[in-house]
Amino acid sequence: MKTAPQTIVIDVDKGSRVAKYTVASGKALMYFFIQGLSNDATRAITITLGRESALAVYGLAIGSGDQKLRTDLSIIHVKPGARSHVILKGVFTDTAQGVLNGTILIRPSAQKTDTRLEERVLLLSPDAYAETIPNLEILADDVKASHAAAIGRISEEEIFYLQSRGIERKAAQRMIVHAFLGSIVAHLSDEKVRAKLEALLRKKIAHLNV
Amino acid sequence: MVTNHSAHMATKTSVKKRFDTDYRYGFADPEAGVYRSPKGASSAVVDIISSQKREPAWMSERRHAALKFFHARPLPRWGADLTAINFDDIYYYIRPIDRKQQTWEGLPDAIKSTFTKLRIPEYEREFLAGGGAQYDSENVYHHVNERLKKTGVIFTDVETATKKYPQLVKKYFGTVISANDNKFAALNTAMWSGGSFVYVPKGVHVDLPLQAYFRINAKNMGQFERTLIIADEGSFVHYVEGCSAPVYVSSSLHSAVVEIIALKNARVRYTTVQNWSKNVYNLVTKRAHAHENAIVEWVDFNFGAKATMKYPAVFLLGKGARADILSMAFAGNGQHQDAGSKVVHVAPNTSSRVISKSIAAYGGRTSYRGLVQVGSRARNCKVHVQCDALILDKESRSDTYPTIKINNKEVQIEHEATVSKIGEEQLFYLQSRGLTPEQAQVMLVNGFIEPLVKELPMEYAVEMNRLIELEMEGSVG
Repeated sequence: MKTAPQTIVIDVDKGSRVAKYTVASGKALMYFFIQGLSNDATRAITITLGRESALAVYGLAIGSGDQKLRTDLSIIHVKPGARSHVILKGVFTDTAQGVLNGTILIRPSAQKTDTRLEERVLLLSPDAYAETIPNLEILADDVKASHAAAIGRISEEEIFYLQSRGIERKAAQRMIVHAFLGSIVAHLSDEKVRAKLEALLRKKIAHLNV
Repeated sequence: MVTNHSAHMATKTSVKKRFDTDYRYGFADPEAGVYRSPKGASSAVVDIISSQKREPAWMSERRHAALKFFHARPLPRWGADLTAINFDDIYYYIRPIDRKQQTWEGLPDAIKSTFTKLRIPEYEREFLAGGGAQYDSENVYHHVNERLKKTGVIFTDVETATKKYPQLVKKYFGTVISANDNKFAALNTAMWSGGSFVYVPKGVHVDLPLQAYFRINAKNMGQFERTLIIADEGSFVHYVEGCSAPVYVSSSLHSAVVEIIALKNARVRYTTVQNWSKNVYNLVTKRAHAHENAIVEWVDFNFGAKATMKYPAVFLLGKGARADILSMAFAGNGQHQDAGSKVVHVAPNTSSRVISKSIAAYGGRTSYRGLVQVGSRARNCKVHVQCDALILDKESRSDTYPTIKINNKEVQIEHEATVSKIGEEQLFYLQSRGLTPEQAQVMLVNGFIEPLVKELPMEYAVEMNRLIELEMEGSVG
């Protein structure tokens, strides 16, 4: 990705939020959010992309207890040559519920769009619930567009590997959850911000029922 | 360059024209049915259908209840645009002949020649264990080969089954798709006529497919066939359906309900090659129940129709059951193929695989709409969904709407989708080997759908490749 001047939005769990952004021609935006650190939370975010702009969205949803979390994300390509990459990750335990609803719309005027939407979920409890909806609506033909969704549990092999290194099972599971979510935080280049978010994550994960 | 460009433009226009008019099955017979109901979805029409069929009271009651559901439900606000359908301007029942025949020779000449032109009798002789043919509202022909009859396999229409096998019909009819499942299932339950009833006894493997062919001939016609397939324990059957209609300016409505019950260890494969003319609204509900270790396979090809809304579904009710859904759609000028799949995992150790490929061209629109749902008891289940779409020009549109709802942690769910155009490099490579741009494009499109086409019975696979060639001819602008 070109090192265009980048605006970074960090949006960490101040309750629910409705927001609209437009990325101007040639500019770049990184939108980073975490939801579920405290209460129920919803996000309804719409981002419109200008000509040859770039967007990265990294979102984490961590639900425990009876939390209900919901993300509605719309990415709208209206001008040619823009790139967007969205990664949404969710971890849900206890009876928590999470909905990751993402839509990428490519209008006829947005040729040469390059976009990818990924949604990945780990379920830690038999009573947790997750819903992933990665939609694509494509009205231009010269584009690259893909999406992927995966829902699963922590793999027994990974736990076994860590146990074989002397790590107790629950700690191993937390470690895996941390790696799953933490890889997203690693996209932030500002060390101070990163350290602060890491600490928030660590605190939430330490209290998760795994 | 300028001449070249305009030459291409000329081919493109002629292709579009051909695309609109070159539907090979667009011929029509004179409308000479022996009975035609008044227009409109009224309870009077329901009574007419019931009395024409001399059916038992319990079925007639179901129809009337369903008609109320139909009127109470609004049009769906998602999917294809259905606002142009005028339900009051449709004939819900047209009886083409007095009595169903067991030989092609017994049919009136016009109807016989229609099916001959469609090559149905020829296919039946060569490839099938049994065939049925529906013309407007009724089955006009049904035949099962002698060897199959001896095994106890029943292949007839639901009307006949209601009279001859009432226990089976009462036990299963409407149990997979209830009368109030959706607006069009309700309409079908009220107006149903024709379709197939299949029962395969325990342990019987039907080695050649059974086929039903559906033809709409009349203008402003609504065809509401009803199909019920019961595969008893350990049995296997492959059911194939094809369809076509004349090209009219006014639109027709096709709204089928297909219910499949695959009991323990049974396997059912259901193949559809949908090639309605481009004035038909195709709004179909198809669903299967798969019991313990049963396998249900939907092979669903959508080529024709003005608008299709169809999402073949499998409910995995017994442990170890499996669903396999292959979906292919081609949308051209004025068409919207809103197709997809649903899998609902209820029992543990169940698995499902969905592969969808779609092509949008000449301003057509394809939409994949899918649902994967895993319930809390469905431990250790696996789901894999893959959707690939091609867009061939900038007037066309492709959507992917997958919803995944998971209420269980012991699962492995994967969904992947890509939307792209034909690769310039691949086109260039093939042209460097001496192919014209047009041939290269046809080859690449055929290559794109090949993994699915090879799942079709031979005669349909050949037909499918021909259709692609026809639709794509001269398409490189």
